[in-house]
Amino acid sequence: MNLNEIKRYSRQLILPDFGTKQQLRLKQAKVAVTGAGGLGCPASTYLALAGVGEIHLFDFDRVELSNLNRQFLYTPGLEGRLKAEAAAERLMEINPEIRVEAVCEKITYDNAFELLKGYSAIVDGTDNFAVRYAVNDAAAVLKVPLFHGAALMYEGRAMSIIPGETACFRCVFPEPPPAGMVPTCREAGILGSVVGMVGAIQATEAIRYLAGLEIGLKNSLLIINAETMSFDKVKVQRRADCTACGERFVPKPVEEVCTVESVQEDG
Amino acid sequence: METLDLRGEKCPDTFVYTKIKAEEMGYAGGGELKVIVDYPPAVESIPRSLEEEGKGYRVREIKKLDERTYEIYIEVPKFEE
Repeated sequence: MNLNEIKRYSRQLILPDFGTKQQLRLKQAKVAVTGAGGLGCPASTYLALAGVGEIHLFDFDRVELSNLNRQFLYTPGLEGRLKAEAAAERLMEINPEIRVEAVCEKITYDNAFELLKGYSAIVDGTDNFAVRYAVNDAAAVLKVPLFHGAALMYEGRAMSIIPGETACFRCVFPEPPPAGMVPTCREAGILGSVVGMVGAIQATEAIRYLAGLEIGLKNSLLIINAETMSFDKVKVQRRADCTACGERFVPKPVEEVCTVESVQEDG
Repeated sequence: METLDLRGEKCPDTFVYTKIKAEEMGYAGGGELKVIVDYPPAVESIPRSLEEEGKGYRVREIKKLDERTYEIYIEVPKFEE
């Protein structure tokens, strides 16, 4: 670590369970953040601030004015730009010590297993069931730790998935909700601070895991209700018959069911 | 009757504009609102979203003008301050 890095990371280097060894692990890590929206912005920002050496941001979408109540890496004037590119540039301004790459490609069940190869961790910031299941199944098969998050209206969820050790997203939710349960427009509502909490939780879990520290959301689904501000941890279990991480992998692509566009982008 | 022409808008923006217009009318004493949309999912989503608001909105009629274009007639009650 150079002097600049020591100063930059000084406030985390003096944490009780943190030090140069943990910081170096972060620097050597290569993390994929899927989605540069409401979850991806806070998650990737905290990963960058903490000094994760290489971050790859996946998003094929472009910045819109209606993103700006929550996606703080974008500013007025950036509308129409590719989110992953704009976010990558901003993150390298925030922390010039790291490398951030934009991947402006849509993740599908067909390409996820190739695209997500070789990462130390994946932080999932998509809220499209098709992509979420693709990312989960790819992470399970590739044995890449996955930090799941979702937010809708005033509710947030997070769960940390360590392959071979903990329940995966599909262990808990084997199938997406039925197509009839298409969300109403109201349910596309989201507050920046709520989705921000979830992204910050995902990043915290990922940072501690990458640094080699114990984490709190293994085999646990955290459910946040921001109306009552209650945080509940629900115990979850691995399933031997899980089609993603169980005894036998069975590819199970999920179709996009949602018609509310902004729900898909975000988290 | 007030008219809101939302042709060219998609969800959830169709509901954003409907909600804001309906609230404006509710605080101004209520009345009838005609919303025109040409995004078919909005025909189902706007009435459901309005109902979930719990403000007493009533969808009186939905008229199909052509393959994509619909008129939604909404009764907006007077809101208590």
